[in-house]
Amino acid sequence: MHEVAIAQALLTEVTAAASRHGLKNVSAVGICVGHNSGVAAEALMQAFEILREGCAGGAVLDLRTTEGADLRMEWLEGE
Amino acid sequence: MTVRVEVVERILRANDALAAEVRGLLDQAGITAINLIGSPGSGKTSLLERTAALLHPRIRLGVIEGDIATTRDAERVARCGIPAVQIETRLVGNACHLDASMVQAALGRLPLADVQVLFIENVGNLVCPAAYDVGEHLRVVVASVPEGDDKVYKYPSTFAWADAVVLNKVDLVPVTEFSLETFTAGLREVTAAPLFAISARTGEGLAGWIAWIEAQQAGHVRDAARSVTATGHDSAVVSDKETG
Repeated sequence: MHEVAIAQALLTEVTAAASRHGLKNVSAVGICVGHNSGVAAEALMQAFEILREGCAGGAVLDLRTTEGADLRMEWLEGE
Repeated sequence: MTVRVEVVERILRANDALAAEVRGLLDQAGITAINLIGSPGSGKTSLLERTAALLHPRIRLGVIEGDIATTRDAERVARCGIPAVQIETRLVGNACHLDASMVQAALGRLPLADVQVLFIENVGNLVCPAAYDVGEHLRVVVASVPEGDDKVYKYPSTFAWADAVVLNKVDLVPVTEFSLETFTAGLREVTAAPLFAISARTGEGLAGWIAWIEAQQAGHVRDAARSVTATGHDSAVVSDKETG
């Protein structure tokens, strides 16, 4: 139930990373969510879809799961 | 042209950075902070009331209470004579957990010079608080007998991160199907952290819990002193807290 807060934090990281790499439009964001991270992947995807804005306004999440407690952004795609 | 760039970063990077700042501030103030996580009704506040009666002011306590709404818990704890501030998360998006920024703001409302052990009672929830480092040194998970002896099997990662586990309401074992053996076996699958089986209502089993807090506080102060000696100045102690 804290996925909205996680999605907000992710959006902040995406925006900062896009700016660092000179991406004006981010089309996809690779993230890694572990089974033991306490985060429900589907809820995180939905929350991100609602919150996404700015350079990440059209970004979709490309999610990879692990058995651990991972919760990280891994790559951005865009132009 | 579409490009792909590697940007490996923890999603909660900003919170973790703030948590490290909070921990540095607490280290400088000589405060040992304990993040108390447990379900609603597990008895976190009752445990704090009992702990205050047995430990304060021999070791001076302070409390940050996290709830969705009301200042009831902070008022309960304040009646024990210890400084307590309430975070009502309904004022910050109804958050189901505390984060480092909320704790940082609450610290400004506490008389830090008068506190040796700070309890941060998280919002009653066994899932969300586990993801957030709030700047604590130690994490304690509170479970209780009526919740069932299979609690650890259902929430393994929350218990795996605990530095200690308190099992409250053991006075109710005779009137439930609860098996302490089953609970302990589940716990030992994920952690070797000490287990304190207590009743905040009757007071049984609290001696071990109190001794553990005292030992942790003494150890933290000793480590902080050593770190100051080693670096030759009293800069913020670098915590060995695992942030993931």
